[in-house]
Amino acid sequence: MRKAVEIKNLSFSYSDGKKVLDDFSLDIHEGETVGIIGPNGAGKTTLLLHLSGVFGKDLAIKIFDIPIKKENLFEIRKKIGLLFQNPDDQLFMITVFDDIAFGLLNLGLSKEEIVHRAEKYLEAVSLPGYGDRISHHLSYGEKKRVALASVLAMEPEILVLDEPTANLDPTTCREFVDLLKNFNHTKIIAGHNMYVIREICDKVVILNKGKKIIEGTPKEIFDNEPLLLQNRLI
Amino acid sequence: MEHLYIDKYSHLHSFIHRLDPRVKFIAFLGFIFTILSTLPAENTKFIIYFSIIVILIIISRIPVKHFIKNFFILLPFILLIVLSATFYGSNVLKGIFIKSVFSILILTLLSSTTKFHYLIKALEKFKFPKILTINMIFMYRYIFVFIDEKMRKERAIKLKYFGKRNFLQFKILGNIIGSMFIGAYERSERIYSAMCSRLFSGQINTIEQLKIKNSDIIFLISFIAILLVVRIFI
Ligand SMILES: Nc1ncnc2c1ncn2[C@@H]1O[C@H](COP(=O)(O)OP(=O)(O)O)[C@@H](O)[C@H]1O
Ligand SMILES: [Mg+2]
Repeated sequence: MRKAVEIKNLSFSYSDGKKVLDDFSLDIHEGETVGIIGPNGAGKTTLLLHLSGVFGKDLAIKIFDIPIKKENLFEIRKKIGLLFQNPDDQLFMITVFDDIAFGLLNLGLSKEEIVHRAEKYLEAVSLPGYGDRISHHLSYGEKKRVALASVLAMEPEILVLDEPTANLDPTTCREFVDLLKNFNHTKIIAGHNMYVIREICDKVVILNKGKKIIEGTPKEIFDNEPLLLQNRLI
Repeated sequence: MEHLYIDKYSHLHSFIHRLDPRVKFIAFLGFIFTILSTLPAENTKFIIYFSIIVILIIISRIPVKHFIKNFFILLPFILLIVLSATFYGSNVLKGIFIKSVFSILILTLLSSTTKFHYLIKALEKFKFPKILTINMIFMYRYIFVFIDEKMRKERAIKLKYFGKRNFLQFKILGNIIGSMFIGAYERSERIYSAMCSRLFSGQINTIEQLKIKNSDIIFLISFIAILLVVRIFI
């Protein structure tokens, strides 16, 4: 199997100098769904942002064997679809259609193709006909799904999801999980909703204070209660 | 939480609402220029202009109170201009007053019968500077997010209010304003990351799906013909 993501000894700190990621390594194979769990402030979001090359050059990370460098960023961002935790950060245009079209225009697609993909992926997140809606007027769950559609429409190979079910009510959460199961992408999911992670992941990594604590199957991890307690996960 | 929208009535259905935004733009701006270029003494013309405005308002089905409200919001500005013109005699005064009022009515009609994003697309079509249209898009998108945040903070103040110790109240207020600035800054960083992860490279593009219909052309030609007849022959 091809390696989709390879992270080798990644360390990182923001300008205040405190280490947010500390010698973190992880391999993710094509088609795998990997959950990254850890308490608030563990560094999950920071780690996911790295995958999209938000912090620029990053030789510790390779996406399908391509290292993150300035000249590769376009190629890498085409392969990585990043869903942000807060949909208000991700939906910055006025209408749903304009938001989906934003990334597609940057891809250089034709107008017909863009209209087609917008319809197709709004359908895929079960919001057909929402193109003309004003993003601000949508419910939180709808915003979340539109944000997902805007990511899926770019047809990335790897889906990176930052706490995809945070703030969703139980039913909406379950619907969102069922939705995610439909997609065969390689997936990386950060979160601390145990139900969600157990339901969809093949592999789970515990991240705490920037360090990888353990990597294992969901069963290995979730049956180890002392470990979960130690890492503030139950 | 309830908001005021500048295009609050833009979802209504009427002939005016259905007109292509570009056609509406040209017709209504043309109307304003015709009014501005009419001599203050030509009373019949102003009566006809007013009748046209009234007819347009009736067709648009927008509540008259919306126009009255908008008018009173802008009244202080008109009065200021009128005051500065008092030295030029009552005719000029009357002219400026009537012309401003008519212009406000027409602009209100334009902005409340057109969805904001269509208005922007019309501006883009007329080669309006991109930096301004993008600013308007972000403003429209985030002003309500910001207002929501402000409302939440205000509720927090109310909960923390502990009597008349004014100095402390100011300190809390200062903190709140500060945290809102930081919040806005951090949000802008996240939005920028979200844009980059969808291949943003310095240009925000939108697809314009406007289509001129036969009714648009007929309206534009007859409207301009009426204006010309009134302006030149009456
Ligand atoms: N833009 C930033 N500047 C400085 N510090 C940050 C920034 N973003 C996050 N941090 C810090 O980095 C640490 C990890 O944050 P984050 O990656 O958001 O964790 P998680 O997503 O697991 O909750 C936290 O201590 C947080 O305060
Ligand atoms: Mg996070």
